[in-house]
Amino acid sequence: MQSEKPYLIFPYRFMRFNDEVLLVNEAGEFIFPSKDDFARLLCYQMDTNSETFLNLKSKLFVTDSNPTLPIYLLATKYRTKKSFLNNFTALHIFIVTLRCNQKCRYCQASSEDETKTEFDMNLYTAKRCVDMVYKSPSPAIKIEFQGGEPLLNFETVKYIVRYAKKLNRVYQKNLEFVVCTNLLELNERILNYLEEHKIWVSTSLDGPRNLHDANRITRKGTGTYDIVRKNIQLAQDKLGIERISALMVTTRDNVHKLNSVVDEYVNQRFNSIFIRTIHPFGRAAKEKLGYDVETFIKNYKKTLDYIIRLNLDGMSFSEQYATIILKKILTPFATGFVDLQSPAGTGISCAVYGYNGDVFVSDEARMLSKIGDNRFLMGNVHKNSYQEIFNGKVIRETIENSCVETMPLCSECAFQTYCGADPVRNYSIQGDLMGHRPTSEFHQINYLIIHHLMELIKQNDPDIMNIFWSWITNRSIEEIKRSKTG
Amino acid sequence: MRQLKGIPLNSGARITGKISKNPAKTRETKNCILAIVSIEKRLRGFKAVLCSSAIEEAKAIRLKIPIIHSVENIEALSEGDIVSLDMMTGDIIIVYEKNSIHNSVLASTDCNCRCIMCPQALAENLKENLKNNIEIIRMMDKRTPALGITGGEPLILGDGLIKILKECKRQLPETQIQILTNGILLKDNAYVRRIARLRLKKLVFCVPLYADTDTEHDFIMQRKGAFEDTIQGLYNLATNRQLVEIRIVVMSLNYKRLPKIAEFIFHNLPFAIHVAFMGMEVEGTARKNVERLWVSPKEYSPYLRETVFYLSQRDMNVSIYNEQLCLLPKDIWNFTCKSISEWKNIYLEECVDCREKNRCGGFFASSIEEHKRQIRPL
Repeated sequence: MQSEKPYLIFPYRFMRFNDEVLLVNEAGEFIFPSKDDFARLLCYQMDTNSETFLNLKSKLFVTDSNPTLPIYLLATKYRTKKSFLNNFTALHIFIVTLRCNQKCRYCQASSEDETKTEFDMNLYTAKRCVDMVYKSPSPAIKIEFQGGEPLLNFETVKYIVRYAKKLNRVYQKNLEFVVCTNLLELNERILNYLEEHKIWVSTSLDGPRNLHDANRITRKGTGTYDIVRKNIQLAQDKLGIERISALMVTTRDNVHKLNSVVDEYVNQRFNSIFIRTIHPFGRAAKEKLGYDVETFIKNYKKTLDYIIRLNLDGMSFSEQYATIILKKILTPFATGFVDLQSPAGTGISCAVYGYNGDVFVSDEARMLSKIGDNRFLMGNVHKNSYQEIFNGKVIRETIENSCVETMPLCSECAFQTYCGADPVRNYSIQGDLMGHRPTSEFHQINYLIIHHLMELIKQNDPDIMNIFWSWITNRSIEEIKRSKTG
Repeated sequence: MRQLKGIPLNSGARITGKISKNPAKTRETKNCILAIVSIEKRLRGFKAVLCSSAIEEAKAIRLKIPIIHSVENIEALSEGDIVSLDMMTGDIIIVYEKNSIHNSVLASTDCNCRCIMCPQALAENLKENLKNNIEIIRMMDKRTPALGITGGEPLILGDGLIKILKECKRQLPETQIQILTNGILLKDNAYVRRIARLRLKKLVFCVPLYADTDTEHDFIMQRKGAFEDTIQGLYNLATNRQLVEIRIVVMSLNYKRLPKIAEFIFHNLPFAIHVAFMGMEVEGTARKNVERLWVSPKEYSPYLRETVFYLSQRDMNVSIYNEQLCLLPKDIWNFTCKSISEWKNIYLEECVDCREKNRCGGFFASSIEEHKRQIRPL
């Protein structure tokens, strides 16, 4: 007869991690037992009064008591981690025009000429889109203006703001606006408007002049750095430094010079940077602006080191992608980042409204449509109901195929709870929504970044951990060190 | 609680009332106990009179009012304090001090646990205690900043506690009410909901957590299942949107796992508005077990330091109570607060010359023997 087991082991995933083993449970709690302890654990030979056992028990990997409480705690924590799913679509991206005054070499949106106003979103379509937005049950609504260059169709932007605010008087949601602009068209009148309506500004900055102008050029082919720099300052002074942020794209041109991109961000009074990989869509693919995973990771790590050193020297400056992942690893809270969650944010967290009223699950989905593939077109605001669009076949298939819990290789990966899926990218590159992990750059990059951050966490250098927590809790290092006020 | 003493006359009962220093009759006089230097003439309407000078028995009888005379240190009483007089012994127990931030109501003298470091002497609850407590709350000043509801375990009063809280809501609408409970009975969500429905403006549940697993917590609480019940109780509080403070008494049995307790709190109880670590009060059961439980602050302070930094780094509000600055690393002094009730708090001879005495928490009078060895002026 089999003897009774002295303790119960709850679900977890694991991997070898340097000389130890990394265990991560469904709620994202982790622990690094030695290989010997791990073996003892699995053979039910662990002393239930030992410190290692108590550590495992405290983090809900095992129990030698009534399992009701640990299961209840795990369930609560799992719900908390997945609570980004509670409210459905919050981010609504409006492509108010396809026209653009720039012709960036990596543009995935394949923009149209400035004169082609037939690619503008008209007011009727805009109204239908806002009506659709307000069918979302989410108590928070963020409307993001994109293009093309949205400021080229400023009348529609203003109309959407006015109409959304009008609806919001009834719906009483937490409503926010963001305009994603290259700032070329910025003027006093627009600035006043942005200030009056508390609209956030997101712009693009790829580094110092030579790096920025390598890819971000006007339709005539001239650089845009000088005017962008001037207008960033104008906007910061008028709207406040916190209200304007910038994004960069890593290309073959700046991948080896990311430190100087960071310097440029610091010089321009930004307090964070988001080191983003290039999306291999549209022109970017044609122009061969990419790089291999190894090159990117090597430089990402180097730059993260550099940013950490800046912080050690007293500056408060964060890297946003690392911050998102650190939050996932180190806190019990939900981190709904549409590009790295499970299921993916496609449609359920964010939706994209094309200039003609087409609704897509993501911006990449819109690019695919531009080259003739409507795989991720959920419907059109003029033709379809909210139910048809947001409860249709497209969104269902996309979501069903983006749960890392069920995806090959992801399902057993120790980093699963910290990671996510991108079905649109998988489809566009690998021809399949679930994709093939061993050849996926998305997978490799995320795996390596998470691994790197996990190593830093394991080293547990007090100064670096202070920096990480200042990023996570959005406080300055001094605030963290001052320890307590009041 | 602080006590004064005098010689009782004219009554053998127990009298509770609010201190007044004004012999003139006012609207409130009927609840008041007059505290004066000497009695000159007949006083109308007061519940009792306290005086510092001696009075002849014959004269006292003519005055026809309960009197305690020859009270030493009568100036310690302030207008608005509430005292309970034992007219048999002449004991004057100060149950509420208007100018203190450490007032509390001993709601229950009984408990459902027998924690091995409990400083309280427990006794069965008497029916009249509830009535007395409500009467005392009724006499409290509306501007009282904070009031603790303590025990024993206040929750075993059940409906009685609801009555006390209703009285607090009526009489002390702006006061921060802190219920000190082991949390076990909070596992009854219906009961938690009843309390939540009272909608007190500032109500905080202060719940102890001695360990991060039931293995150790249940042993310290001397009750199997205590950890499970308390954690369930804390979740019930959170889902009913009640405010929670976690209290951790540091002792030999748990100091090495303080950082793990902090991890458990951050990952499972991040809704706590405050986490407080505190030194032991060596009294009652704790005195009996002191050999087994005592660990000097010097020895546990490195663990305590790691723990408070862990929590504050994560933006949690953390404090250290009942600790002496000279025994703690300087970089965690910011977390300490003076939390020992005035009447329990003492300083040693060594402390007279200390530059930091004003910032220091001082001692529980009861723990003095254990502390003496290490205290030094800064």
